[in-house]
Amino acid sequence: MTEFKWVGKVVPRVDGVEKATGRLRYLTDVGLPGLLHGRIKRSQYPHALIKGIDTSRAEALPGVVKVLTHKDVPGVNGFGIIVPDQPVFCREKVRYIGDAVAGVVAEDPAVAEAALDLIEVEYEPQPVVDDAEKAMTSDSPRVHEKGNIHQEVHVRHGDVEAGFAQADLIIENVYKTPRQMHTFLETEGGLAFYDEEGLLNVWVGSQYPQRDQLQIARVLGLNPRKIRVVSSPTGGGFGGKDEITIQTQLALMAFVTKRPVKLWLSREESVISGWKRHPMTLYYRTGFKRDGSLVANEIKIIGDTGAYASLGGPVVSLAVESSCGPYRIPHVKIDGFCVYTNNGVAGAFRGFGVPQSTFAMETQLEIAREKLVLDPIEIRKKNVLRRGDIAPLGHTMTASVGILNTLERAEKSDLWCQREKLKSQTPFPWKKRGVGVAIALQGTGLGVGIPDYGAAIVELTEEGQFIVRIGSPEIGQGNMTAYAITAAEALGCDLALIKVVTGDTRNSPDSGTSTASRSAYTGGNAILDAVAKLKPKLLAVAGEMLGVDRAGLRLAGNRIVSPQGRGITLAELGRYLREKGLEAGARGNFVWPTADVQIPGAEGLPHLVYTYVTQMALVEVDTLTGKVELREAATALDAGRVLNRQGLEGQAEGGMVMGAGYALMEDIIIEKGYFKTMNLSTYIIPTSLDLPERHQVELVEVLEESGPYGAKGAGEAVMVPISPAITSAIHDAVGVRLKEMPAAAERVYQGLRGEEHGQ
Amino acid sequence: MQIKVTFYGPLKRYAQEDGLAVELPAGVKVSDLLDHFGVEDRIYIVILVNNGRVDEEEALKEGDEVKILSPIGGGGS
Amino acid sequence: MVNDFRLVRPKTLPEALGLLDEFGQEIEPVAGGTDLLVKLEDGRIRPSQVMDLSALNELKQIRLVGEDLHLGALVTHTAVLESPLTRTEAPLLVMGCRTVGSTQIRNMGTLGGNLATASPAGDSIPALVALEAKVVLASKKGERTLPVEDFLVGPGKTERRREELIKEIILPCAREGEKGFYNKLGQRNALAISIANVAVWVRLGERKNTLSRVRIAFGALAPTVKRGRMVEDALTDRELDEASLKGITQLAWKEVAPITDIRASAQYRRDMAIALLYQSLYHILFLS
Repeated sequence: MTEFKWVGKVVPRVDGVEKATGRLRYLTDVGLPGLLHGRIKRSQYPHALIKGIDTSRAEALPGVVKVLTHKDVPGVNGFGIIVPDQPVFCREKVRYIGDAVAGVVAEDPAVAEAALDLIEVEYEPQPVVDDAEKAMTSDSPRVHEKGNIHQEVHVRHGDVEAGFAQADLIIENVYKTPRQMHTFLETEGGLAFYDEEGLLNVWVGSQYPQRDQLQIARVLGLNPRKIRVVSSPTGGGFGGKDEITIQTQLALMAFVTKRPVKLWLSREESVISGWKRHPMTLYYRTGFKRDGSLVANEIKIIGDTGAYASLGGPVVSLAVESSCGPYRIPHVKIDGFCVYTNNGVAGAFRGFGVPQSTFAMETQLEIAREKLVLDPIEIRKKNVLRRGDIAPLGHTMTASVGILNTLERAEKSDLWCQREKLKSQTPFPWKKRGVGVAIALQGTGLGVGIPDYGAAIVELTEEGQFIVRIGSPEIGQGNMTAYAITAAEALGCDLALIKVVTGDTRNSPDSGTSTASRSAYTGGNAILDAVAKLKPKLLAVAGEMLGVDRAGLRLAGNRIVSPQGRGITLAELGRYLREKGLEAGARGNFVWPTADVQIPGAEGLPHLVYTYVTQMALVEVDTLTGKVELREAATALDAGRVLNRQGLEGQAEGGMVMGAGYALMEDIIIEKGYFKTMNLSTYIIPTSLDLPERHQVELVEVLEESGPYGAKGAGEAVMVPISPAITSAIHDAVGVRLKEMPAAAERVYQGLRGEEHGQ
Repeated sequence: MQIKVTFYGPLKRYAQEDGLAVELPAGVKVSDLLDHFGVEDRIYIVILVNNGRVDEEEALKEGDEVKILSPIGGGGS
Repeated sequence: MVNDFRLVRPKTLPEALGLLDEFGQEIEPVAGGTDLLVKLEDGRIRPSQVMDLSALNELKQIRLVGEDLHLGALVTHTAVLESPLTRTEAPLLVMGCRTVGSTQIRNMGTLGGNLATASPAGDSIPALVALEAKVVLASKKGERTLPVEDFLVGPGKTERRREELIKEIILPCAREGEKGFYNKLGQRNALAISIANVAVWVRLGERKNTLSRVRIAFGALAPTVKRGRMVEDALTDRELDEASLKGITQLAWKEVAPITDIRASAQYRRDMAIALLYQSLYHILFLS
């Protein structure tokens, strides 16, 4: 066992004090002299043709500096990570109620607001496409000219009918999942301005500044090098700031007015305009042998991506990839459809399609388990993937596979060992308790097809500090701390000497997105590469300075010391390098390993490296009202080597909470294209009083050779299986089997009454 | 000099083959390579040389491995 | 966005009433502001004048007057939770106030404000109705007193005239042999607007498992907080066990007239009137 100084230890978050004391300034907190204020005029209809836009009255309002429409866009009037199908400002058509039609820049926010009402837009309303399945039919009105099916994925492996012929039990069901909102604390916003060098600066909370830079450049028709994007620190992302939020409109406002502009969405505007988790309908037909082994799975998944593509295609692809769970299934037929509607917009969200299909697959397994009278742990152990297995999609599991380890650890948790006692402790006769278990895998990184790359620069300053520069921004997930730990461990110096810079196109190299559970893995590997280049150089120079052979030199604390006890400080070394004009830094690069098979038509499938997790829930159901409370939870996580122990536990806790909210209460309700949940008084997320006092987190370190010190990603998997664990626990408590989330009291009550689920 | 080029994703339309060997005069830059293939969209692309991101002005040298892709990856968080 | 308005801050009740008398039509009184600020922010109201009542210390008192408890209109929900007087003399009101919003909202929100807003889902109101509390309205011309139940007219509508302020709320002190229970169902356990709620006040009968007086108030189940007199009568002076309780509480279905909204359907709310009432009485009779 390697002895680590920093890796896996409990260390303070590098940005912890500033955040806990409120001293940290987010980008939406930054002001500038002469700042103008931007506002967006949004659509009045979920689906309509634009017949005319008259901005003259708004322009005439004193204090209005500029009113912008599609006519003011110098480059491509569109953004979108994969296809730029979402207009910066709509020209001929609006496709959802959050669509931007015009922008106002004014001296004062109240004036900007007032000017919005003076912009006259003439619409010709179109029939609203509000149901993804109906949208797929040929006679549906079209959201986009090319048709409503944005992308299809089809996986065939084995012979599914032959598989069903071997099955002793076939379970067939339809599942529906809600439209979850990221609910980051900091709504979308930031400021844009020209600096002294003439660069257009766009400082916006976001998950990938380098890609924002390119998207902004495409809209403005500018060389990307004329644009600087800063996106760290970001007040929460969860996938909702992966795509462009307001960057292109904001940049255009500063580009046109040549003055600093701030644009920051209200919560209501954030709700209607922002990305959401795809609601999905999932058709499952699953074949089991009498002993519980899985033999066949036939699946159809329909994802409602709303008005524009964004990452809807890859989200549905990942739902397809994980639709069979972490199980061996020899015969599969899986079809995925990503469909346009006028229901807002859906895009990236922590879990990225995996929570939806995991809910369906784990419920299928539970239904079969009950019929076959098998133990929930045993049926899973029998079917889980092991290293070297062929996965349902046909690729070989060549990387580390720790799902069995997480099951074995979870089985020893207090929740599971004490479950009969815990279940019996009900306070009132109308309360019933139950437990549930569910498991999941989540691919980390972007998969195959497109290289997933990372980069880091590590440099020694004259003050004797190491600066670690990595583009992937700190969005609250704690990657700065993970980077500091990785760098300090590799360099052998004190953690306090590491300063991390992220999320700035000018001051940190492109290291990809802070998404896909990838930033610690990718950035960590890039740091190791940079340190491997830098450290020998530093030791060689130190050897010169000391007049000794570099071979025996080592870095310790803030010094480089020889075996004889002679040494220099890092500050001395840094100054020396500067005086001699020697390079004091090194750049590291990393490109991900990829799987051996690519699924045709599904960019990014399959992954090679996966994170594995088992979660358990103890719930208490009020049989008279249907209200469900999560009383206790347990998580056993294989994210490879633990880099930042507290950070990983924090992710596990936060993920469990987000998954519990998804299972129990969260849903953005849209009717006929109009939002019924507009803010946090109607969009309900859990509070501390809705969450268990005890959540046992067990970190199972199955080392992944390709990761930094054996680490993998963790950000997403931790929110996935808790949802079906909760719904299974509800079934254990009261016999109600939910095939639709959230498990709101009324839905559970209807189940108790034997009525159809849903409303 | 010889360099190896791979296009990814939708950009595969410029060259299907992975690690295609291309002969170019010494001293050329990435922009010359893009000209060579007639790459139209010069804004929304990412260029990696030996796995490190560069821009169009980067000078190429013998044996460089160039990867050209759209920045279309994404994921949850 | 909040419009510009003139803010006045009277120091005494007569001063406030004088201002109301003069500007009643265009002045919007504000106590804790927890409702008003939301309406201002989204532009639902655009008053030309706002009267900040926070300096009227005389309306912040909780006093014992004979057999009654007098609560000033500006008593906050937090003050109700923390006062030794309310804890002993009005435990049912304490239970209701505990479920209002969050700590921050309870610190700002007042009993008078909750009444004036007259939300059918207001969490302090069912206790007041079940306790047969009275509300004292003051104007420049004098005072009048109304039962809280009569004061409430509809969602957001009350008997308060523009020139009147709620001065105080009067309720009878709790006595030996009385019990209460407040039962709220929300979408979550804090910061939740009631899907349905019920406040139950009883005087225990001399025989075991009997009730000599019962008062029930349903919240979020009708346009105003609503008394359930039929079911009150049916519960009075008879021996109750689990089975009879189950049967009688079914009557609650007839007492309520709920709506369907984003939080729940009307049918579910009707059923919850029964469930919440049953649980409340079960607590009172068999668990305490």
